[in-house]
Amino acid sequence: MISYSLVDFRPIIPELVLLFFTFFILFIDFAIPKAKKKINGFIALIGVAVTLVVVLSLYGSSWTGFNNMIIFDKASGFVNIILLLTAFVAILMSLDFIKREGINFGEYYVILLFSLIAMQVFCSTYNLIVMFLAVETLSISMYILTAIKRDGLRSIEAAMKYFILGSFASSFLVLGIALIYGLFGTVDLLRVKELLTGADSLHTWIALVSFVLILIGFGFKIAAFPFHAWTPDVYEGAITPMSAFMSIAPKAASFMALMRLLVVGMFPIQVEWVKLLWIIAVFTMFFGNLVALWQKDLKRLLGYSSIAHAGYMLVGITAANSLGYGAVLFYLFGYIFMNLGAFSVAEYISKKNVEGCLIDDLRGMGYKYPLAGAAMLVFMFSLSGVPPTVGFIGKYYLFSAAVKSHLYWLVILGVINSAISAYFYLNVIVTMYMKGGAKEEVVSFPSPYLRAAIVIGAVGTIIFGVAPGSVLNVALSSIVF
Amino acid sequence: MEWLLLLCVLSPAVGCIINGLFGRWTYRAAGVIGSTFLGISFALAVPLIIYAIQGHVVDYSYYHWIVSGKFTVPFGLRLDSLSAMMLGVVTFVSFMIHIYAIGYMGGHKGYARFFTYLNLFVFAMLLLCMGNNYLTMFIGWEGVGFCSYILIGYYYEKKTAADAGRKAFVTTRIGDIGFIVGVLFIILYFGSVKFTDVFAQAHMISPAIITIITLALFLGAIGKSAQFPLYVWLPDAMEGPTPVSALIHAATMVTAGVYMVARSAPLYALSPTGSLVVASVGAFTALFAATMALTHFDLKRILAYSTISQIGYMMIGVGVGAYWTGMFHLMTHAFFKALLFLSAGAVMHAMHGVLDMRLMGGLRHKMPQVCIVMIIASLAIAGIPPLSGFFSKDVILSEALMLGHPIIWLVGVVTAFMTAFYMFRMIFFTFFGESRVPEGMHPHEAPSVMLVPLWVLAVGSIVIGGILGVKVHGHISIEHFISLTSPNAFPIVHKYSETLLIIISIIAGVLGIAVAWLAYIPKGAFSFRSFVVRTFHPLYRCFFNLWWVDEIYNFLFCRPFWHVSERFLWKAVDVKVIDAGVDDVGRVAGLTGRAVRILQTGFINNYACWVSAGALIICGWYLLKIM
Repeated sequence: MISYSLVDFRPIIPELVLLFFTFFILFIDFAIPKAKKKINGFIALIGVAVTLVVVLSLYGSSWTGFNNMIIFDKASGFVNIILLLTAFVAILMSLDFIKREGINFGEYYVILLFSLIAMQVFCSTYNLIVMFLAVETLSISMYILTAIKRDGLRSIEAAMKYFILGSFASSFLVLGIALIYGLFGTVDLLRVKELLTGADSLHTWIALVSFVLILIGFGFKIAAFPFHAWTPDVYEGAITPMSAFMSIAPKAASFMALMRLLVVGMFPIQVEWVKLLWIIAVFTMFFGNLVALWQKDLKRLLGYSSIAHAGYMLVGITAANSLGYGAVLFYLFGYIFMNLGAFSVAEYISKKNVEGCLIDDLRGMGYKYPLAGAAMLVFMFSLSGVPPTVGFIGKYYLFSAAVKSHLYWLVILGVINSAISAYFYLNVIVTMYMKGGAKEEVVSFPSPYLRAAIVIGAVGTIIFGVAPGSVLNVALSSIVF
Repeated sequence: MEWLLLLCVLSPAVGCIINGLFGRWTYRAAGVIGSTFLGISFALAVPLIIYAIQGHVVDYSYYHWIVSGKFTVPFGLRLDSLSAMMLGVVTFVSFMIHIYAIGYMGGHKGYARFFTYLNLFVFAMLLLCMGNNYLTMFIGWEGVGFCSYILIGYYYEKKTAADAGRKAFVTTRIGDIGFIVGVLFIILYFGSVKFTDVFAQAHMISPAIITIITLALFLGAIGKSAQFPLYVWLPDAMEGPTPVSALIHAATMVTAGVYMVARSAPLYALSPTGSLVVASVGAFTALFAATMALTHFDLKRILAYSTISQIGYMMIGVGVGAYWTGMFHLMTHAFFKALLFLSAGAVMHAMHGVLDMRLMGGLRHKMPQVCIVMIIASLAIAGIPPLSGFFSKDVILSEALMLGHPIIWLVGVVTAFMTAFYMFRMIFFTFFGESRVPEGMHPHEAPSVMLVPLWVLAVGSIVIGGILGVKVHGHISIEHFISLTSPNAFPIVHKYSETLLIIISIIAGVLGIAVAWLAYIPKGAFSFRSFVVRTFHPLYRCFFNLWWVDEIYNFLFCRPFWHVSERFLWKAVDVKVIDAGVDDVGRVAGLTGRAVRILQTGFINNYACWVSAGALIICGWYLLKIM
C-alpha cells in the first residue's frame, strides 16, 4: 500500500500553479463572447508570468515526490524557465494574430497551457512511464495546435502528417520502454543504471537496443536526422506563433529528458551512445544546413535551420561532460530569443490567411521598417553565430565542450556547418537591404504585442551575447547529475 | 561611489546614443545636448576627484565580461590619483571644447553626427583612463582610435581628409599590434589583466619578460602618442575639424600613451632598459619634431609638430621614472595646447578656412582677444614663468638631469629654445607686422560662445602650473598626489642647484622669443632671415622638407607593400586560389543540398520509411554486434 502526503506535492508546485490558471480559463471561457477572447490570452500571459516567478523563487530546491516518480532539481528548474519564457513570447505573438486569422477560440490557450504542463513534467522525471505519459500529452496538444486553423488545407495536412508520424515514433518509444521493463523489472532510470552496471554482456546489448528504440522516439521530438522529416512541413503549415513555440519548447523539454536518459540511465554504456550520437549529430547538422540552402520560404528555412541547431546541441551532448550539458541548456535559453524573434518578424510581414512567407517578400523591408529590419539582422547574425550575439556565445561553449572531450573532427564539421549556414542567413539580410524595392509593398501586421515580442528577442539576443556571465553560470551549475 | 563613477563614464555614451539615433530631430539642439551630457560628466567628476584627493581608491568590477576557466576579464573601473587626474583633464577640456564646437561647427553639414562622434570619443577616452584592467583599457584605446579615424575623415567628401583618416588608422594600428602583444604576454605570464593582480605579481616574473612587455606596450604608445617613427599621421590629422584637433590630437587621445606608461609604472620600474627606451624615444622625438615646426607656414601643422614634440617631453618624464612630471606636463599641456588649437581655429574661422600664415599678418587689430589668449598660450608652452608650462617643463628637465640623463636634459633645453622660437615666429607672423590678408576677406573677432571657452582655458594655462607645481612646505602637491599611485621609480644620482637649472631653462625660452622677434619684427629682419637660410642651407632644406620622412616611408614600405598586395596577393592568390576555392565549396554544398532535398517529398509514407530505415540500421548494427 503506497500512501502519499502533502510533501509529495512539492515538486509539482509549478505545474499546479499553471494548472490552476488553465482551469480558470476553461471555466470562464463560456462567459466570454467570441470578440473578447483576448481576455483568455491575457489570463494565460499572467498565469505563465506567475508560474515563472514561482519557478524562479523555487530554483535551487531539490525535491522528489510520488515514489521518485517526479523530481524538481536545478536542471528541471532551468528548463522550466526556458519553457515559460517561450510560452510567454508565443502568447504575445498570438494575441492579435489568432483574431486576425479568425481562430480565436477559447481552447487555443487552454491547449497551449496543457502542452506546457506536459513539458514541465517531461523534463522533471527519471521514470520512463511518466516520460511516456508526458510525451503523449504534449504530442496530442501539439497535433491539435497544428490543426487549430481548421479551414486551412496546409495546416490540416501538416497536422495529419505530424499525428501519423508522431504515433509511429511513439510506438518505438513504448516498445523500448517495454523491453527495459522486461529486462530489469523497473522503469526508474536511476534503478536501471545500478542494474545495468552489473549486467552481463547479453543484457547490456539488449538494453542498448531498447535504449536505441527510446532514443528514436526522442529523436523524433528533437527532429534529429533521420527522424526529422516532419519538421519543415509542420512549421510551414502551422500558424506562425505555434511554429515558433514548437521550435523551442518541446525541444527544450525533450533535450532535458534525453540528457536524463543518456547521462543517468545509459551511463554504463556511455562509450556506445557517444559514437551513435556523433554520427547523428553530424548528419543532422549537414542535412539541416544543406537543404536550407535551397529554401524560398522563410518558415521552411527556419524549420531546416532548427534541424541544424538540434545538431549543434547534440554536439554538446556528445561531448559527454558537464560543460557540454550546461552549454546545451544555455544554447536553448539563447535560442528562445533568436528563433522566436525570427519567427516574430516572419509573422510581422505575414499576410492574412497565407501560411507561408517567401523570403523574396522581405525585399526592401530594411528600409520600410528599419527597426524590424535591424532586429531581423540581429537574429540572422545570431543564428549564424556571429559575435557579439547570444548565438555566438552558445555555439562557442557547445564546441569548446567538444574540444574538451577531444572530439576535434566533430568540432571541425560543426564549424564547417556554421560556415555553410552563414550563406542562407546572410541571404535573408541581403534580400532585406540590397535586393532593391519590393515586388509588392511589404505590409506589416500592426500588433503592439508582436512588436514587444520582436523587441524582447532583439534585446535578449544582444544582452546575453554581450554579458552572458550570470545566465551562463546558472546554466552550467544546473547540471548536477 | 562606484556607481557615481559608472554614471560619470556612461554619461557621454548617453549623449552619443541620443544624438546618434535621433540626430534627424535634434538637429539644432545636438550641440547643446552633447555639451549637456559632457557637463553632467564633469559635474560628477568633481566629487570623485575630491574623493581621490582625500586618498581614497575605488576599484570595482561591475560584471564579468569573459569567464574562461580561471581566467576572467571583468568590466571594471578604477579611481585613484592617476586616473582621477585624467578624469579631471578629460572631462573639463572636453566640456570646454564641446561648448566651443557649438559655435565653430554651427551651420556645418552633419552637425548632429559631429557631436555623436565627439561624445563617443569622450566615452571611449574615459574607458581608457578609468578601466581597472588592461582589456578595458584596450577597448577604450581602440575606441578612441576609431573615433579619431572617423573624425579626421569628418569631411569625407574631401579626398585629403579621407586619406588622412586612413593614414592615421593604419599607422596607429602598427602600434596597436604592439599593445595587443603586450597584453597577451601579460595574460600568459600573469594569468590576469587586472592592474592590481598584475602589479602585485610583477616582481616574481623574470626581468627579461617584463622588458618585452614594457617594450611591446610602448610600441602601442608610440603609435597612439605619435612618437618617432610612427608620428607621421598626426600632422595629416589636422584635416579634421579644429575642435577635433584640439580635443583628440592635442589634449587627450595622443597623451594616452603617456598615461599608459604612468599606469604601468610598476612594470616600467622593474625594467630600466624599457624605461630608457621610453625616455630616449621621447627626447629624440621632442627635438626632431621641433626642427620640423621651425619652417612651416601652416598654422595647424606647426601646432601638430609642437604637440609631437611636447609629448616627447612627457615621455622623457615618464621614461626617466619620474611619472608625476610626465603627468603634470600632460595636464598643463592639455590646457595650453587646447587653447592654441582653439585660437588657431578662431583665426581659421575668421579667415574662411585659410591656414597659411603667409596670407595673414597684422591680425591683432582685427581679433585682439584671440591674439591675447594665443600669446598667453605661447608664453606657457615656451616655459616663461609664472605660466603653467614653465613649472611642468622645468621639473621634467631637472628630474631627467638628477636621475642621471644629462644628454636628455641637454636635448630638452635645446628643444625648449626651439619651441619658444617657433611659437613666437607663429605669433609674429600671424598677428603682427603688415597685413597680407587677401582682398575681399574681412577677419573678425570670434563669437562669444567661442571666446568664453578660450578665456577659461587661458586662465587655466596661467594658473594651473603655479597651483599644482609650487613647492609648499618642501613638497609639490602634484608630485605627492601622483606618487600615491605611481611613485618615482629610480633613485636620484646627482644633486644640482635647482635655481641654476631654472635660470637655464628660462634663458632658453627668452632667447627663443628674442631670436623670433629679431627675425620677424624689426626693419631688416628679412635680410637677417635670408642670411641665416643661406648659411645653413642644407639644414634648412631638411627642416623644410620634414626630413623627407613621408617619402622614405613611401619608398620603403608603402610601394613594396602595394606591389605585393596588388600583383601577388590580389591577382594571384585571392582571385585564383581563394575565390576559386570558395566558389567551388559553395557549388559543392549547393549541389549536395539540391540532391538531398529530393528526399523531402512531402509524402508521409516516405517519411515513415526514413524513420524505419534509421531504426533498422541502428538496431541492426547493434544486433549484429551481439551475434
